[in-house]
Amino acid sequence: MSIQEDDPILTACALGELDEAQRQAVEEQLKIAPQLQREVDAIRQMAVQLEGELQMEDAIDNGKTPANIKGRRRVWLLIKVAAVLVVVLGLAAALTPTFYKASRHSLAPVMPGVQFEDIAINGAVGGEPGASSGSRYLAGVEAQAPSHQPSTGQKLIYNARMSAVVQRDQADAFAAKLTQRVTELGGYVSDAQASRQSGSSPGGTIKLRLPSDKLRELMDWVGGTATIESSSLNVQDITELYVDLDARLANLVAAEKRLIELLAKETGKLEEVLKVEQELRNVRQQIEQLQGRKRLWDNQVALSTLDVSYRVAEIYRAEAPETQSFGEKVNLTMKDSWHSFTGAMGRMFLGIVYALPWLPLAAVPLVVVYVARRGSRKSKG
Amino acid sequence: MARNDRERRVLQSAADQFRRPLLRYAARLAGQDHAEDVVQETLTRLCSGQSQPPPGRLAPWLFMVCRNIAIDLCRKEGRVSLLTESQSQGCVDGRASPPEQAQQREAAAGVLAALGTLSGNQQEVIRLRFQNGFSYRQIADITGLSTGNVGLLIHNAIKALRQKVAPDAAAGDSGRNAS
Repeated sequence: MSIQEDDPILTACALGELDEAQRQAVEEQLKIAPQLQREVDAIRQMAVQLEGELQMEDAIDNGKTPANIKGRRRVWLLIKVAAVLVVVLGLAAALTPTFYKASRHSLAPVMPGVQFEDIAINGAVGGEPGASSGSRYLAGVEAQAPSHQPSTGQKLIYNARMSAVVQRDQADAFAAKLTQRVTELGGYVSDAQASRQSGSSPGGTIKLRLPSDKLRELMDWVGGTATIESSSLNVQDITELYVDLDARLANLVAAEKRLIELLAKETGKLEEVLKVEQELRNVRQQIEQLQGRKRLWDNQVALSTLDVSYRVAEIYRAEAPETQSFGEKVNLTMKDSWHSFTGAMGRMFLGIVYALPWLPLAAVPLVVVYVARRGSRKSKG
Repeated sequence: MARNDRERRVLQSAADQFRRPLLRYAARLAGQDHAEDVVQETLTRLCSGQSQPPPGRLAPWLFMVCRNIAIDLCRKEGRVSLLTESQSQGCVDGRASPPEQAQQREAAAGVLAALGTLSGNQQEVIRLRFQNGFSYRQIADITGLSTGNVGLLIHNAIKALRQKVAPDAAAGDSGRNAS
């Protein structure tokens, strides 16, 4: 049995749709082909994500009552007020030169009371590592840590992204330090990839999961260790959804209890007993799904996710003129120029190779013109 | 009498349990305006006893009946295609204001946004599989497709979603070396 990476049987295996014999046969293949195992894992991951998102969509639909629609309108108004406040304060602060410098790798403060928001700060490459957080420049707005302890019962999910530029030859050291730091803070590395492709600067991505109350600390640490190109923080308040899920779970448990009682009293035909048993299975399946969703949310609330992408920027080398002599600059410029020249020549050659198969096609009109001209000359002669 | 009472309770339980998933399914097939009617007709057929679901397959049977009723309704109204993008988009509750809809969309952005770009039958089987928890076999019963076809649709849909959500990862990072 030979399985390709694009075989639907892998999806069926990942989703538990194979019978025992098929499953064993596929698993044998997975043992000897790691790329197939990775494919199955990726499919499973997508399946879990789909299930979660679609159940969240359910919860959004179910929880939409006129009362909480009003609540959302109030929240939306609050977001607008908060946005205006941030813009005004941002403009005021931006007038000071220190703000621009620091904001290159600062985090925006989370406005209290906002239920769902995305905050992103972008900065040019070249900021100085180690500058302090920009939040303290926003006078009058109390910077609330993204991982601040929420009020009792509030369920907040934090997802953050940071794009960092590290100094030359520091990419591996940065990744190692980050891994060590997140471990110290009680978190772990969920996914890590490093890239060393020819012709591009080394870099990578690291997905971190860590206790929510440590997220801010880690983001500050990253901001102090590397130059931050951009950072974003997404805060999702799932309190309503969570309460709704609890209520649905309680209802289903009550329904399960009723069905069990009904089954205990059942003295009718076998077909009726089977119907009740089927209902019971369905209810239990729903309970398990909701319990799974609840566990997932509990995990997401307890552990925040931070995606850090890092790279070594070429521009970073060019932006250190103070430490280079004129000769070194000439040398560096010459190297860059030669690098560009060889790159352009390579691309030009590839372009010619690409065009080769089309040349006969382009020659057709030329031949037609040549033959026509020759014909007209002969007729004149 | 006791038997009728039991049947009534079982049917009531089924109606309570499946009403909301059926409404969602019907809304995507026939539009939000007709969803209530389609589900009402589905449950009426269940209760009338004219046709009975096979033992142990109540849920697929309800979805299959719901689908057939929705298709009939669409045909009567001259709507040929099912699950067009506009219908899928129209499933968003009309009571929500644009900012609220944006908020909801944002909350479900990513996979759901990518799901909205798939073909109608791919969206349908994906939702039946991951939203309603049906197996390939049950989805085949509901949609009238073969089990193999359902498997292929789900496989292609997941592949497309992976490419849309994380194109680099889905394409396989051949040039990368894990550190």
